Amino acid sequence: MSAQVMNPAIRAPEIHNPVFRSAAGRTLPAGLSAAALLELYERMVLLRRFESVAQTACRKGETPGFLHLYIGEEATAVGVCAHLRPTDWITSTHRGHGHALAKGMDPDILMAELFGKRDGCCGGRGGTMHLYDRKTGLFGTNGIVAAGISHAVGAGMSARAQGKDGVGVAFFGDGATNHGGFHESLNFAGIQKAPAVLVCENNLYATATPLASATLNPEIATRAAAYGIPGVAVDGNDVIAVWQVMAEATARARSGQGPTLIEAKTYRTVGHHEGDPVTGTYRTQAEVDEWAKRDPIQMLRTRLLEDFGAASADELGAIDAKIDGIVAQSLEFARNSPEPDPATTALHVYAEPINPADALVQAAPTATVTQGWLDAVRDGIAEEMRRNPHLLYFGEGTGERGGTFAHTKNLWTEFGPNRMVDTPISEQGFTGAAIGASATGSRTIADLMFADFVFEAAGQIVLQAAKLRYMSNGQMNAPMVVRVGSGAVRSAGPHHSGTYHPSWANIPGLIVCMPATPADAKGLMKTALRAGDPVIMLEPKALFASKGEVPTGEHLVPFGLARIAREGGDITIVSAGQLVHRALEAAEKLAAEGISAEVIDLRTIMPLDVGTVAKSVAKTHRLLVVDEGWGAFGVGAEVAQAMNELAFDDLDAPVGRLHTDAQPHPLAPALERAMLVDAVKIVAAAKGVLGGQPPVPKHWRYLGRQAAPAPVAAPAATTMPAPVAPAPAAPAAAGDGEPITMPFGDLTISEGTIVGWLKKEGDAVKAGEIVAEIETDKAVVEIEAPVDGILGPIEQPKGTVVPMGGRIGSVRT
Amino acid sequence: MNAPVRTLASPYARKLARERGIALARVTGSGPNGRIVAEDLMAAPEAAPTAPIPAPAMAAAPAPAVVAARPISAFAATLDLTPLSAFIAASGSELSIDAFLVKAAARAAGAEAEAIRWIKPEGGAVTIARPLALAPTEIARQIGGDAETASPGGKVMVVSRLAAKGVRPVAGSLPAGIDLRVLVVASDGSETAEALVVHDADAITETEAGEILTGFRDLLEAPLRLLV
Repeated sequence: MSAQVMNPAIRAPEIHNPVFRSAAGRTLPAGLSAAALLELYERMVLLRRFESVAQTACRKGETPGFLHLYIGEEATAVGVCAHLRPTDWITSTHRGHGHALAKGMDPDILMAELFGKRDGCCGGRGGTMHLYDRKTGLFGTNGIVAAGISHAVGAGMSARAQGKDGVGVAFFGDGATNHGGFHESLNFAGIQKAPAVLVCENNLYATATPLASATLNPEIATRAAAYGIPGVAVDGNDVIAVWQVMAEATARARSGQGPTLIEAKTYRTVGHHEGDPVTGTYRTQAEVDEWAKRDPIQMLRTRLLEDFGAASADELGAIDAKIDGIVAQSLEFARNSPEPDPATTALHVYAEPINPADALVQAAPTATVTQGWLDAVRDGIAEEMRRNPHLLYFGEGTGERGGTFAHTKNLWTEFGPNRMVDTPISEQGFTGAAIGASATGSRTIADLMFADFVFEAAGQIVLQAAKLRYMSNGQMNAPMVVRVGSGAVRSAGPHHSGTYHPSWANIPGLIVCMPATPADAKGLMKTALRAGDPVIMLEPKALFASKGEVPTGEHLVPFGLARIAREGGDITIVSAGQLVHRALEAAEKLAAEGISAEVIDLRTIMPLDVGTVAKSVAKTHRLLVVDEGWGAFGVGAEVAQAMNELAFDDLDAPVGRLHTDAQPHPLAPALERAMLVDAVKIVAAAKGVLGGQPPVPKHWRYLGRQAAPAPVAAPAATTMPAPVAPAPAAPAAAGDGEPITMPFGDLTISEGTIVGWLKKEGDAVKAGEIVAEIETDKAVVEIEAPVDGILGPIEQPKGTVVPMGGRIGSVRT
Repeated sequence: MNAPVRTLASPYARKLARERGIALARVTGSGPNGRIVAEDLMAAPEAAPTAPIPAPAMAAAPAPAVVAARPISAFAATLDLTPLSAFIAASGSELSIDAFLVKAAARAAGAEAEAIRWIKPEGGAVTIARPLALAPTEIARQIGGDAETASPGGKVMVVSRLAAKGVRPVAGSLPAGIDLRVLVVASDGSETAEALVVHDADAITETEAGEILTGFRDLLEAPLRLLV
């Protein structure tokens, strides 16, 4: 009789695949001894008795927060974990005490953690839904549905990268199977043949929502077909059956055959959480009673006594009594453990110190070489990948294709597909896997292409990576780098122009970098790849085509150290990323008027080097913050308030701030120019600050009278921010025919080199015929004749570097 | 009854007025709404009975006792060494503070120290050429070396450290041909140090010497700055 039929409110689903159950009778499955069966029994009793005691403690008010009990589902955790080693990793759910115990966690430290005590497995920082134990391979129970699936996939890939046969096992509920995290992770695990096992505990309800009312395909195991991986449904209350299917799934994972989806059909015989009624409005007492008859511990007990004769009732009673003693001791332990010391509450937010030691040792100065931004960073990543064989790069098209911006060119050739992992467009799934791998002995880069796309993985970054060190009481961390191209560049439009760094800098646990030069981009990337915390690396797309001096030797730039980009005495202008260059242009214009501006390049938004800013303000007494992020709750507000706190007596004028206008980025160049910060606006704002009246933003949108209009110049049409483009070479002799030009193409490319002319001057050419080839950082572009005619004169010879849109010759008609 | 008139002034203008004993009420503000800004104070007359303002953390030391007829002047300051100790520990290196003292002295002195002569506590000296370009590890290697290297020429600054507790330097000799010297008193592991800058006032003005000392202190108290 199927479970669903028992609930009169729910239509019995059509079952497409059989549910695996253990064979009836006396025969034990291969590999399972009577002694092993007794161990499974003992472990299940531990899970049950532990939860019963925790339930009582919760009702007495001894455990702070929520409590979700695993009662009724013990056979699944125990049958699965029986195959796992301490070095394998499991990820779990909000209902995870059973998983922790099945994986081998000491009941004492588990109970103490539920009590929020100092001796708990996470020192009271995590609690029931955030249990971590590196020793036993518990990579977290989790308060977020489906969040742990990708971590297990990453942990498996991490083991493989380290040459081990460890596996990652994810437990999740039926509710998670309708979440993107499930879909993205299973698909990614499949295509990567990840050493992972994905265990769905289908207890029929996502809190109070019946599975059959949440999907038209409630046969979860069948969904494996969507990802091309095996799926098996098993009776989750039959520990022998779970043991059997997990034996096969583990063997597949360890031997490189890839992941398996296991759907364990089970039932919780308690409410969703303590305090929630057992039946509620979503199920009947009759249904609960029917499932209680199939209690997993009772079922095994009966078979041990009647089918296998593995033990007598007295012997099983002795096991029960032993477990009662262990659980009573854990309760005693938890009650006696002291409260955590309030003075320690701020520990384990970031690595201490925040910089890796290598970034604090100054290398001997070396020669420099002029390099483009992308080449410099690419070299830095290659150096780190050579240094650390467990550094993996996940990204869309960053493998064999070499990246959308040609930013991973040649890395795939050197490091191969197992380290340069080409991913599906599954930001949440592969970022989660990057977190999982980074927390288990590897390091990872998750390349999300555009800063705008980071929001697709925001839950993983903010709720998992950033909090991992803290939740786990410093046991675990996620040393991963989220790498994206950021900021406005030539009408990239509403979904490809943002930076969003204030949003990420607002999250405790994240490091946020925004370099302005190729050398800093490389140096910060190398530091990030040796640091202990998740890093958001925002590389301004507008600077991809820029060049700069980059040290040829080992070069690391520490986090939290601003650079004085230009010295001055009258006003300090603080900036970061591409606006450092606009600020330098403004400083040049101000100098022409006798005003000496000091320009500070923050380099990292978090940590924020307010000390250097305060020191500069002590000299100039005036400050303007210029930032590409939106102003509301942004960098300007943060730096200005820091000066109130650190440098109040040094201020001779209110601090000013100038940000990208608080609106989406439009496509039309005229509209985009009007909202972006440029040198003219910076000059006007600086003069405002010097006159004691800084510009006043309009982003509050409050209903009262608007403040006096800020002294901001109208944007001039000539000041569109553009990457540094080389001055076009002087044309040899401009012909009077139809011009042949280097076509505009990719937003992040600014120039190309003429590889050669395929036609000679004086040759007859047809419109559309290829006359020349130009190589950019990304590709060779074929240049066509614009019209029928005679080629000539050729104005730029082979080898010349020409800017986009630049003229290279003409065709006479 | 007249309500008291609030004087508008920038925080920096108020600070300057405090320091110079200027009554703000007597100053006309040129800023928005008549706000007094620092510039307005530059023209204001100082009040007659000004209390002497002690310079923070820096006091002129007594003139050196017996030196040749050179116009020698000296300034002392207390340094907080805890950021430097934390920095060295965080970098995982085993360096002593000496290499950082040399590096900071070179940075603070700028063109006044084309080379640094490090006087060893056990006697003898090592001359380090172009110390600005050297990493602390390299400086440590050189000052740990035996050979007395030949002077590379150019301006030489003398740097030394006396590992003593509970004493403060008040005067220091200036060897012939040397215009600038930094003497640091700090025992190993001490949380603070006393630094004395001794200079020939004909070659280096007192203002410059004061800036060298504050620069030296600021660098050692924010040692990350030494890396850029």
